[in-house]
Amino acid sequence: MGLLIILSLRTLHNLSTISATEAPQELRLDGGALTALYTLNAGMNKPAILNSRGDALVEFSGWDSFVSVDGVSADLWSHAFNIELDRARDRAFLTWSSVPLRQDDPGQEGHHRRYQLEQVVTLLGPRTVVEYYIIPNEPVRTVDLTVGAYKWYLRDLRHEGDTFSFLSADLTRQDAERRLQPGRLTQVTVRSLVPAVGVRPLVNQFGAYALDFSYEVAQPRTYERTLVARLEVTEGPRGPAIQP
Amino acid sequence: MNIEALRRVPRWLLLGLAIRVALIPFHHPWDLQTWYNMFVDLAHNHSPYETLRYLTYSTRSQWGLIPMDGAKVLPVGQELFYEYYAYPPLPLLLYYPLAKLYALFRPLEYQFVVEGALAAHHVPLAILALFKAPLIVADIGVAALLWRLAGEARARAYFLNPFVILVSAAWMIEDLMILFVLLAFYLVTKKRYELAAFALGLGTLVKWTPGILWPVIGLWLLAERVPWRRQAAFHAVFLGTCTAGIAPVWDGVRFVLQFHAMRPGANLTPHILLYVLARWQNPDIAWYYHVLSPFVGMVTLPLALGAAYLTQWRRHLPLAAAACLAVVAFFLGSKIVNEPYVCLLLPLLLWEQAERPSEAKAFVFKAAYALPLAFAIINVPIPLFIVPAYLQVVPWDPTSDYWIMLLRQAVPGRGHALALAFLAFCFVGAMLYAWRVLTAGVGHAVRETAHRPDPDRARIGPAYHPVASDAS
Repeated sequence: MGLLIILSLRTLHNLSTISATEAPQELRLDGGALTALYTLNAGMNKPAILNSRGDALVEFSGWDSFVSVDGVSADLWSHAFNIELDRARDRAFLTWSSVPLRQDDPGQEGHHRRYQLEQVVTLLGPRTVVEYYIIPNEPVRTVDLTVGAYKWYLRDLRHEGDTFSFLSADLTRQDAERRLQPGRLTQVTVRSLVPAVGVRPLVNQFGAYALDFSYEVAQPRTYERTLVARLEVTEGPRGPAIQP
Repeated sequence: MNIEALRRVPRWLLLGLAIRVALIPFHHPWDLQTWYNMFVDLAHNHSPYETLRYLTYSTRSQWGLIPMDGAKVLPVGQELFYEYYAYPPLPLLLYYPLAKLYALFRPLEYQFVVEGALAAHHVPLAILALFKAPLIVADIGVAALLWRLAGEARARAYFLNPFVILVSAAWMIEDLMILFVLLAFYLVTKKRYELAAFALGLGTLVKWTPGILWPVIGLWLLAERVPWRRQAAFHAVFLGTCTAGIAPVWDGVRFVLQFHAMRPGANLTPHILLYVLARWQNPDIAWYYHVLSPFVGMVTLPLALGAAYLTQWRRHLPLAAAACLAVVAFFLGSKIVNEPYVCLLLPLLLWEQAERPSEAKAFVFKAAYALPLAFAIINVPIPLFIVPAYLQVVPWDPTSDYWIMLLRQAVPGRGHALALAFLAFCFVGAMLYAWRVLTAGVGHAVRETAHRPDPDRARIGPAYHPVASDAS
């Protein structure tokens, strides 16, 4: 009976812990060679991929990634989101939901479709695979997704097909714009593993600072996950030189 | 097989087989999703336990939209697990060659709906047939064993039982588990204890439930003063079989055990009140669902099982009655009793009835299949079994899940909840009555037929008809 009581109290404690909601400022998924860093109170770093020295190789953006469902577009940061980390498998699941878009548009609920967009990040040694799935909760015809991958700045950018390679410096944006010399440069390759309908670098006066990958799927299955995009970030070899 | 040999096969067996074959295109939509994707996993040499893990974390991240859209049955913001393959590994071993065989001819792709939605997938008829073929064979095996243990009439009563047919032909893998359980008890009656332990171990490697019968046989061996060495051999073989089956997939099994530990209560238990509460109480019922219900189940299950084992020991219950009592205790103590679980009790009750017939046991048998059957008809509800067959003949559409979901949402919630709660409490009442019948000898024992070597020869009526002529 004593054992049963101890077991019961322990179970109750565990269940309460599991059901509790944590609200940290950031989450880190450490995969050894690479780390995925999620900042929870800003639209950037969804996630940032860091190497073992803590340098950001590339940052997936919530502010500057967009989803358009049946022609109605919104940036990902305008959606509600939730993150779950499977630390044992070096996997992170982030799901954006269109609920706030519908709630912020009273009387026009039909304007925004009911859907979720799920991002799955898997750390595989020096590689990270980032996937996006659409889950419509009602019939939809077309889904367009633009994924913005940022780095201030992409030095020595090279491009072939859906593959970009560049040098990533250990500088903040401000330091880079003050033309400070980096202490470290890391070779990075970003590659689309499914055909993208468009890829382009974004450039300002200081150089290229982001890569836009655009995808489109038609008639995704309702209540099921349909793959929209799959990208791979690798700390490693370079591609051929980019054409001017 | 020549015509003469075919004539010797009982007609009821052929009838039962014909019904099962005719039901091949029909299935419970959610469980068909599980079995179909198990085929996909096996064809790709991928562990279903890893898929369960992946889908679980995916589900935990999918917070917000489905409950807010009112598409879920229970208003819980976040599910902790995805309901996929959460069984022991033996079925994987059995279906591996069949999945590989199918994959030689056609590619297989995953089809999963999100947790809380209704699955409406087009599953090829060949996969349905490959999945059900071993189950039909197992069902024949159960009938054959029951014939040996309890006579032909009771084998027929089992094989043609509508609830058994629904579960074995269109729902779950219970009959595979029951085959090993009955084989274990049959071998115990033949004093082949080591083989019985092996069979019971295999049953536990099909579904977890037969594990509750291990102490039943252990206590019975103790009460019968079976030599210590043979008792030790029984336990060693059982534990060795389970360990050998589970050890290679321990990581996955551990995750499955977490799933079962944290799973909220449901269906034929008082935990059905969660559903009733959800119909009248709109706010999120997550605390009741994720904390209180699993906690209550964690306490009640060991208490009920412990009481059953104690009763068996103190009252020197015969083996069949003790086995029935342990299963009844499981139903009374478990936080979740899905309709198919009840199938395990039916052949054990028929065996007990053959050994010590009584009106009360006949009544318990009827209640034990009629109430879960009625519950399933309302709960699933029964028309959804047609969906897989319907999708064989109409072109599949990416929005099929949505329209099926709308049908499910059209079911009036409060009436549905009350009807299910009424049936669930009737079932709990029936199980309490079964406890009394099995332990206190309620009913009218027919002494003449008890302990006959061939109970079928001594039977005085159909399997579960009241027998009272020579009572008292």
